[in-house]
Amino acid sequence: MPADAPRVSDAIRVGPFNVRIEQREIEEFVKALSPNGVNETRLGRVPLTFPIRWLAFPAVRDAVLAFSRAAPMLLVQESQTFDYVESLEVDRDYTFTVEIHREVSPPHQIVIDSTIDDTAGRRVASLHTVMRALSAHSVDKPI
Amino acid sequence: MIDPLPKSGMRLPEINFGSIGIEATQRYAEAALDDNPIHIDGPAARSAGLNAPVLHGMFMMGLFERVIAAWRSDIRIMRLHATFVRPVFVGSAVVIGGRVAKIAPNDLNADVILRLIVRGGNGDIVCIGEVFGRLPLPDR
Repeated sequence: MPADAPRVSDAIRVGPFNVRIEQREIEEFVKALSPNGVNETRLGRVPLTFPIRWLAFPAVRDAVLAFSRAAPMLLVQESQTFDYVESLEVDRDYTFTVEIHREVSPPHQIVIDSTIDDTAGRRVASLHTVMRALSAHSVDKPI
Repeated sequence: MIDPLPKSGMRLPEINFGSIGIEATQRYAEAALDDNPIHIDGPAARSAGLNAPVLHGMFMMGLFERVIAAWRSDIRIMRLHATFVRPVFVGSAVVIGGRVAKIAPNDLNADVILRLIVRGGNGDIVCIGEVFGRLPLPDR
C-alpha cells in the first residue's frame, strides 16, 4: 500500500440516538451476568458493559452489515474497549452516536466508535469495538 | 477503613464461573439484545462453520466486573478492555483470574492497571483483559 494511501474507508455516522437506562434493564442485565447465582455487582449501578446493548439498534446493525456485505462473511468480535469519564446513571438521558469505518489494512476489520454524551453535550463514555469479517471456514476451533 | 494499596504482581482471586450453558446464554442474549443465532442456535452455528453455539465474548467481558468487585469494591474503573482470542462453545467452563500489572500512587489516589485472563474449560486462554482504575489511598 502506498504511504499516502488512506488507512481507512469512508466512515459513516449513525445517530445520535436518545437513550435512557431503566432500572428494570439493569436488573435483567445483572441477572444475566450471574450464571452461578451470586453477583457482587451492586444493584442500582450501571454495569460498565451495559451500553453494548445500544449497538443492537437496527440502524447501527444495518450500517455494520452494509460494511461487511462487500464480501459475504461472518462477523466476529475481536476486541472491545469502554472508556468512562464518569459513571452512567439510571433514569438519566444521554445521546449515543456511532461512527463506523472499515480498515484498509488489516483488511476485513470493521471498527465501531461510539460516544455517550449527557444532555449538555459533555462526554460521559466511549466505546471502541473491533469486528473481524471472516470466511466461515477460517473461524478458530472453539474450546 | 481503606485497604492498603496492592503491590504490582499481586494476584486477584480467581473465579470459576462453572459451565455456562444454553439457558444462561439465552438469558444474556435477551438482556444484551444480542440475538446473533450463532450463540443460541445449533444449526445457525453450524452454517457459520462452527460445530455448536459459542458464548458471547461480551458475556465473558461482563464477568470482569464481578472478578474485580470480589477483589476490591472500592476501585473506580475508568477503562475496560478485552481482546477475544478464540471462541468458546456454550457449555464450557469459564475461569477468570488476573494480577496487578502496575500501581502508581499520586497525591490524590493510586492509578492501577490490572491484567485479566479468561480460560476455557480445557485451560486455554480465550480472552485477555486490561483494566485501568483508581484506588483510594489508604488511611495514614
